[in-house]
Amino acid sequence: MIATQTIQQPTSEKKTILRMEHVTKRFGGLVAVSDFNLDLKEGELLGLIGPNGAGKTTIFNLITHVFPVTEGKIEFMGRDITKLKTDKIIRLGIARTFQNIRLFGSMTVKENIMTAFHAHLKSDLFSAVAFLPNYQREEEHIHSMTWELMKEVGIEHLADYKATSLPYGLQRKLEIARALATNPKLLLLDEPAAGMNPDETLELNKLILDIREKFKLTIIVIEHDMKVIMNICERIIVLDHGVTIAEGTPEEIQKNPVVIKAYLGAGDEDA
Amino acid sequence: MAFCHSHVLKNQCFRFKDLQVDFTNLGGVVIMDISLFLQHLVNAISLGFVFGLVAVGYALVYGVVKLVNFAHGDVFMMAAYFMFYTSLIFGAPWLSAVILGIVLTSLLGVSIEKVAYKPLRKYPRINSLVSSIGMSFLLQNFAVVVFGGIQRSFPVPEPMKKTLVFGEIRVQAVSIYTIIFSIIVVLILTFILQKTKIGLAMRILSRDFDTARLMGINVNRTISFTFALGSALAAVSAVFWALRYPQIFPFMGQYPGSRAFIAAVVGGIGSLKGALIGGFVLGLLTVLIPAFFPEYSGYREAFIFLLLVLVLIFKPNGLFGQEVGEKV
Amino acid sequence: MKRSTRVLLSILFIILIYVFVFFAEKYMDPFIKRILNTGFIYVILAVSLNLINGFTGQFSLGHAGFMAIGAYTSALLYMSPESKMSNFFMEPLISPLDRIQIPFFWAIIVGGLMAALAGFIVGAPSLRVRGDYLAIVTYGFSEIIRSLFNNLQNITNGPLGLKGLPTYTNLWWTVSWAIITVIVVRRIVDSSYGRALKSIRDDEVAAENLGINLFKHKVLAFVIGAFFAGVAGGLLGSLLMTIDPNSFSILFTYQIITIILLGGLGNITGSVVVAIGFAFLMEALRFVEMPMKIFGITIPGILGMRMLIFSILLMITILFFRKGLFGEREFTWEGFVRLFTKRKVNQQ
Repeated sequence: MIATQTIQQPTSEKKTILRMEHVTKRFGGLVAVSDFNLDLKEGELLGLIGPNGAGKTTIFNLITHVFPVTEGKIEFMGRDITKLKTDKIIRLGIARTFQNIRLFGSMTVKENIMTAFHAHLKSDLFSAVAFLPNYQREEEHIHSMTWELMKEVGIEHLADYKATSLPYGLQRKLEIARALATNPKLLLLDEPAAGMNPDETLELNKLILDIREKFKLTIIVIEHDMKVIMNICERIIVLDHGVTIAEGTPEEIQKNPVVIKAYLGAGDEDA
Repeated sequence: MAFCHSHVLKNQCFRFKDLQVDFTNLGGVVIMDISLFLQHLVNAISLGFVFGLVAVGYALVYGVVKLVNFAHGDVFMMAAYFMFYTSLIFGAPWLSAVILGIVLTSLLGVSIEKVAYKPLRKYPRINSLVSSIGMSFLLQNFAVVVFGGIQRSFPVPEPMKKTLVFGEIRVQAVSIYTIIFSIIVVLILTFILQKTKIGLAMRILSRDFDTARLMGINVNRTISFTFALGSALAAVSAVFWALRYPQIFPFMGQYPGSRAFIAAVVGGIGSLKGALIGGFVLGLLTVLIPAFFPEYSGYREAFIFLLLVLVLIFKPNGLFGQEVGEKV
Repeated sequence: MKRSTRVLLSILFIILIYVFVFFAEKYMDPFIKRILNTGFIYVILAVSLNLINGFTGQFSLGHAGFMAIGAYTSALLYMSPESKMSNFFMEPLISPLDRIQIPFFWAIIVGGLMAALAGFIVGAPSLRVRGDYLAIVTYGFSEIIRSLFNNLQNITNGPLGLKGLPTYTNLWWTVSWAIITVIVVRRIVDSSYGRALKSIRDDEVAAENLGINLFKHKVLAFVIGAFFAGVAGGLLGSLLMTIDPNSFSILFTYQIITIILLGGLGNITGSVVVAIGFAFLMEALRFVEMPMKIFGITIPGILGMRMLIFSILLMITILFFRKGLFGEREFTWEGFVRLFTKRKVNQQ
């Protein structure tokens, strides 16, 4: 279940993992996202930036069908997921974290992660209640995988603590570990560095790169913190008021006058 | 047109006995002459207003504090008892007793808010929901112990006992008074909401709770006023209800209270207009179903709740409700 | 503590319970027995309602409706044809119900299954309805059942109800079903499914975005909860020897809600303890409704005082003990053993 090695292929040979074509989202009269297009290759680390309210989280919400697109098509690994329900999309291999961390408050760190394995549980309810061998095996597997994930992000010593009692930075890491438990191929991270200090941000960068390699992930990151975006993203898309205003490598984006005008001026204070 | 109700204390079954003359039965639908129809109609409209007012009182509270106030029907019940006692014990003339009753009920509503809902405001909504259920339970049991379980007779003043006759049509005076005064109450309510400062505050709170605070609106005072107003509406509808069905008892609020819920939900979450119309439709159905389909009169309840379920399946926010999405 | 040790201790405990039941059935005062039976039926009701309301966070007020379905279904199945004929004197019971008679055990099971079916029908649209409004819809469902049962003269005998039901219910049945309910619900809650249900309670959106099918799991909770409510209804009918549509009203549901709130939403131990306690307390408090002589003065009993005391208890719990008397502390064998030993027992 956990990948241990990866082979970096040249970008042009990689397959498209996520394709978004002419995706538009309207809320009544407000256009949140306008004609968004994306051809995301396997293994890419894409950054999605823009001022607040630009529509970045909306795009994540559209991908996981928190609400439906108004127009356009979304394809994941060649399959049209535009009209599929959220839980089905997740089970197909997309995972996400939330801008304002949504942990399960009544459960411990460990239980939060274990819950995420339920999506792929093969045993039925009867096996679980009767504690049949096939369920026992799965439960053991869930336990050991959860430990792996907790160690991966460095919170295994807090396993039995209430999830919401963790400091903010660790809560974010927990959310990432939990998302990984659904065995995704595509991971959507929504402002993972929010509220982190520079040291934590460096750790986060390393973590993101590590998990990409270890779990063979494709990752899209929404961020305001340029220390993350500029250092780990290979490609960046810039949104403003729902419209894609620029796309390119970190170097290109940094120099792009349109971007600087719309956004990076404020970003400089962060960096 | 008479109604009977079961003598079992906890259960109110309302079954309109049909007139034995002047109707023909065709495939279950009753064909009646125009005078009878008009009588039913007036009856239905007046009942519709009663349900509507209860529903509006409930929807008012829901709109501002987003609380399903299960105790609303029981506040309604307390209103009836307040008026019973002020007129009985203090021998107050009817109108004064009613007004005093309305005031007392408002005070009750405000107190309930302060005691049972305000302390829980910062916690997850389920706590407030449960608290309103608890208050409902408490009020009913309180009434049983303090007022006694036997039914009392609500005082009905002479002018209301009359039956007015217009040619062939016979109409209860109560119905006419109900309709007239309900309209007046709706107008007053509209005035309060649209033209006063506190009404504006209520409307703002119902739209955006957090921003309202930041704009300097005194949240506590506005909420208290909302409860006072909602309870007053319950009290007014209690008057009209008790005039029609003078037997009051501790569980009498269950039935109108549940109508209020249905009306408000069908009409639309937080929409006062919807609640009024919902109450209206319910009143019409309550009277007209047994009138036109006497065989199915017993199933009226089932039919109405079924209507509720259907509306919620196809229009989860009710007929006039606005989509209130959660920000993800 | 190893799992096998826990299971062993539980089995021992259950055997002890049955030994107690054996002696109780033989020698115990029938009055106390009746309270115990009622208590265990309340356990079934409380634990099953807690599954829906406490663990899955779906605030259902429909439990009395499920009970009614279970009570009537099983009664109509275990009553003798003669008994049915004498009951249905206004309008005869429809065929083939008028002739059927099956053993009590199976009647209870079928009652539970019918209630479970109702749980599915109620649960299915429940997804569409916002949290606080679910309470109203389920309340409505409960009232629909009451209204239907009051009117279907040829199936339920209408408001007259069914009288003269044979007393099959005894401690063997109530205790066994209570044990089954507790085990099943505890197993669900401790399993992956339980985590899924709790995640739905804590944050539906997050749960859905972890691949959990909300519909399937909410309905699951409803169906299982309803099944046990139906069983409890069937058991209660045979205990009381008479049922009528109006005894299964929202007030009954409020009592069960009181129990699970006092015990703690999402706390099985709390539900068990408070349920049995409730049954005893109800009886013990009867004295406040009887005339009392204190210092030679007769204080008249006040009818309804019991319920008033309970409602006050309920409000106090809601306002000051939001997590109930037990909060989140559940019974565990490790915790139990630790009460007696100073040694730390390994938690596994």
